[in-house]
Amino acid sequence: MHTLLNVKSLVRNSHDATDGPRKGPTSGILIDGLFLAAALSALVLWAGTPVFGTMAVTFVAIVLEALPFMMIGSVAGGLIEVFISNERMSGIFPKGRKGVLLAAGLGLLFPVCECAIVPIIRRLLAKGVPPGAAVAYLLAGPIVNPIVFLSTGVAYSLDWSTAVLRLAFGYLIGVSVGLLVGSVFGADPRRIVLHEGSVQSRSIASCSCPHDHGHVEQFPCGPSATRADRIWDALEHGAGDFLDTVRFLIIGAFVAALINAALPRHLLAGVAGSPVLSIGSAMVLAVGLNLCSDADAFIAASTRSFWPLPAQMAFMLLGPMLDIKLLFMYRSLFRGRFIAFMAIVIPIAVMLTALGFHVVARGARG
Amino acid sequence: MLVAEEKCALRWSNALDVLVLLLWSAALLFLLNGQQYRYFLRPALGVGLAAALLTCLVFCVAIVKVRHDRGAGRLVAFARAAVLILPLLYAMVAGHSVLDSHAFATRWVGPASKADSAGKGLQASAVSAMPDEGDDDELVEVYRSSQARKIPPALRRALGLPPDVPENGEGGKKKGVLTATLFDLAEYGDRYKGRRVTTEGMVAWDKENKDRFYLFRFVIVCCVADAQPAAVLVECPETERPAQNAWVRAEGLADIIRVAGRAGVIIRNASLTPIPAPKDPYLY
Repeated sequence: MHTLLNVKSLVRNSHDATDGPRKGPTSGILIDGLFLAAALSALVLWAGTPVFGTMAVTFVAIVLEALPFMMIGSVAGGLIEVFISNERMSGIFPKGRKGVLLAAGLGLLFPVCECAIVPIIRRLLAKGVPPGAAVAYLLAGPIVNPIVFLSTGVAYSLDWSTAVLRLAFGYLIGVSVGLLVGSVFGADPRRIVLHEGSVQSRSIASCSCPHDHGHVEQFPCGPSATRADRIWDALEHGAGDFLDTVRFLIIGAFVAALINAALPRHLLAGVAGSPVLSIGSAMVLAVGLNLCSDADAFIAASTRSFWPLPAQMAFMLLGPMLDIKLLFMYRSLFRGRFIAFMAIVIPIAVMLTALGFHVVARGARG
Repeated sequence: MLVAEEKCALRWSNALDVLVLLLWSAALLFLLNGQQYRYFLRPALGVGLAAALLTCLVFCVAIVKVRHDRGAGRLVAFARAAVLILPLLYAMVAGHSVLDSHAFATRWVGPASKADSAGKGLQASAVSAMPDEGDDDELVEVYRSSQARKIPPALRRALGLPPDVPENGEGGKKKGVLTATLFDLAEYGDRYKGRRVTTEGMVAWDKENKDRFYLFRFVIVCCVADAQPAAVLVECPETERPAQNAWVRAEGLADIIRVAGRAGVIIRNASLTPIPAPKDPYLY
């Protein structure tokens, strides 16, 4: 009975996805068109200038660096789609606070960077994972993981306390924002995803496999599909997710490269007089530079001469959660109002955390 | 008729996806061949690009094998494909461009110094305006000897690699002259104070003083986006100042100088030698 209800629910969802208004493709063409016009104009008008040279190299570098990680994330998402049923996923991610607390620490077991995690979250939401838990993993996953812990420790000359603090604060913000998302948007992923068709599990809606989809809960790709067929299906899902998401990575990387090439760093260093200004300038730089969470600690460590540790911490916390590139990548997945919500809540959470850290650290120093 | 059009659109979208992935595969192969990707990424990330190349090809096979209808129209498919190949176009235009004096001017905020650091765990670079009384020859030599491990000549021959080129282009180390990378000098400047050093880098003019210029190289952690300049000042007469973005080797006496309140290294009485751009444009 329960399975039957789930199937009915999925069928209804798939009908919603196919019958309802689909704004994605139209707005997608508009975004693509504007971006192509801007990028090609820049190529024609400014090729050969020093700013363009720096921007072009940075743009290509950001895309090349993220590419392998996005592919890993897309393949992982495809495997989740085909091999993990919705019921099993519900068991892995319990609803409510427990699910959020668990999801925020999941990066310790499944370490992924911020580029790889977006396609995974896309599939998790399609599998019915509650928005709170998905967002907790999305925000905390790229920070609360062993690779980032090691890179932070090494960047800070083996001062592991900085690495521990970064993980703790990352977990705290992931849980806080996840709980807030859970209370505001509820447990239905459809309230935050861009349009159901963009992330809907294809098992029922449009899978091309010649089988009866009524058994989707047990066999996402049909009972008659061989393991090899299911692996190819997973890889095809991965390819689709990759091609859908990498488009936004490219647009985001372009904007990020422009900022990276044009933003004079000494201006940010110059406003580092007060805690709020230094933390604020660090957050601006984190959003503008679009660094990988594995590398940003080295940049944060290089700012020690003009930013206090709370500002460096804000830089290391905000970048993996929200930067220009991620804002565009979120566009492949979330509704505009949810992205706006995140764009407001995450910086506030990071600012409050960094200010709290500043107050506590100053108190400890006496 | 409608069905026929849908089938056609399906073939177009699948074919375009495969075409884009094949173009990316070709680009990745080109970048991996001869390690061209080092103009964008640190060498260690070549493994990731190789994995990406393999995954691109596997994705192509998967798309052709499964032939799933994505439901995207031709315009959507074409627009997406155009966006996806744009980085390839930029990579071709960028060619062998490296971050130059413009990027240096944007990213340079001055050397880190002990005097400016505060708080727990905030020991910055070792450049200080105060003389370092603990400086000793042994430490410098130990530091200098801890360089990256090199491939043994026998293995190099077996792999068909070209013979190892000595760091000092003049064929070896000069007696009494310490060879240092700009990263060494920027990070451990105190250790070199009062010593004769030789180092290599790119030129960026100092806008405030024509009798000196910055010698810099970018240090990369992952990719060009996180590149940070490591730089020293070089003192020389205005008439001998090299052109912007020229690669030079500077040999002279290392000293500590304060610029805008921050301590950094300056090479005094420098003799300058033009050098070709190194194979590795960045320090890693």
